[in-house]
Amino acid sequence: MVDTLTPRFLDRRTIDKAYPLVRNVVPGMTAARWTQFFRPHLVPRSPDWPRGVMTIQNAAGYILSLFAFEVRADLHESRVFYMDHIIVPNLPGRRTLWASTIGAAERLAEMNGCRAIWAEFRGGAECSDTDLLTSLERSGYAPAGVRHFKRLEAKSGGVGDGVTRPARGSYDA
Amino acid sequence: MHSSAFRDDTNGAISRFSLVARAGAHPLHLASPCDTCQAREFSACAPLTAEEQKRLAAIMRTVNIKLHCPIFDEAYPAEYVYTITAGTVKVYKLLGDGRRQITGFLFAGDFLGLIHNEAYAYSAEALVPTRLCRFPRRRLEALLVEIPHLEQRLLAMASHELAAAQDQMVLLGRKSARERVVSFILMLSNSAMRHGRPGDPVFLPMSRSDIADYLGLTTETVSRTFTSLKKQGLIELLDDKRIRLPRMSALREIAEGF
Repeated sequence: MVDTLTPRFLDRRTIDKAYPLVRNVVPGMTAARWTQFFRPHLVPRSPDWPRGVMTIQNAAGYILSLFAFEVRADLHESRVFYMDHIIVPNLPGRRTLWASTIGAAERLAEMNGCRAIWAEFRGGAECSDTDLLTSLERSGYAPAGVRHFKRLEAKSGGVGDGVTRPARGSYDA
Repeated sequence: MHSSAFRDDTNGAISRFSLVARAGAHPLHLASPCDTCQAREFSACAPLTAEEQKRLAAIMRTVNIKLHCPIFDEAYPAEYVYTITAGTVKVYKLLGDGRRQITGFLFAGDFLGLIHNEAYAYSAEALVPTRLCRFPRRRLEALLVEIPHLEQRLLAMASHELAAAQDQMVLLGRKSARERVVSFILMLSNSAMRHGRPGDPVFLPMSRSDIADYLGLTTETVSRTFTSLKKQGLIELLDDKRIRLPRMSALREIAEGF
């Protein structure tokens, strides 16, 4: 049996169903925190600047991978497609899953008139995922730019859900 | 802990399970245990050609897991992945406060071995004496490179743990205990039919406590719900953990919240 993989947007009805996948890749993630974090991603900022969460589902409708995306203005490239929170479980045969995930992102980027794609992988397991990086390179992606990261000590704003709120006046990149 | 039990060498004591056979080493007319595998039709091996089957069998070992024995523990190095060929397995995660959350039940034909960061994402335990095909993960991945179309086929089967956990999320989203329990029974019935077994009577090898854990209910509530369903003639409790479903359409209506 060869499964059919289909990209579908995550919506409020299916956000809970995606939780087991997220929990698998992000240990300690609670269902409440997942829902609280991603619910705003399901609403676009404006029709011209869409954002959302794309899932890859099998024929039975089970969610096998997902990523968050957003179309942003870029000084150099005009419109750029950002994808992050890329979650692809380590399953045998996952290169097929990777190909579907990347393919879905590229189609979405083209549909939105984007001239480039940024795929962001934060620290931890994703960085050491050689299969993932190999798949990206084969699809024409290359490391670009420099991003530095500094964890700030939480002084205030924590509300007990593990999510650190940005200080007033900071911007949403 | 029991990671030593997974070594291929048999010098150490292997109490939890016994290695049955290396597939390629079978004598005479039996080319491999795959030839007599009852789960083959419903497992990842089903669509393989004879040659592919042979190559897969060459890296496979059959293992028997005793009743209630662990197969692997969450966060332990994931050296192997498995296909269940007989029996029932529960998969669970340990929560931060030490509690256990059962996230799914897997059956013959299902694939086992979801990995995070080179370690098992869940713990797995045999609910009944269980037989597994065990594949060294690295060697299996190497084989997938050599046989690319096997990769797609395997992916279709390898998402069972995720699917079971997503089924659970749908169940937990239902409001009443009664709806959850009935949905669970029907889910097992449907799963049995998908795997070529009769859906009625349905086999429930798990304890009331395990069902409660899976459904987010107390054991007492699960027991009360079963008793209530029995009194209403919606289910009949048979011997050996089987349940007959004489009013299937009524059960479906309950599961849908009518």
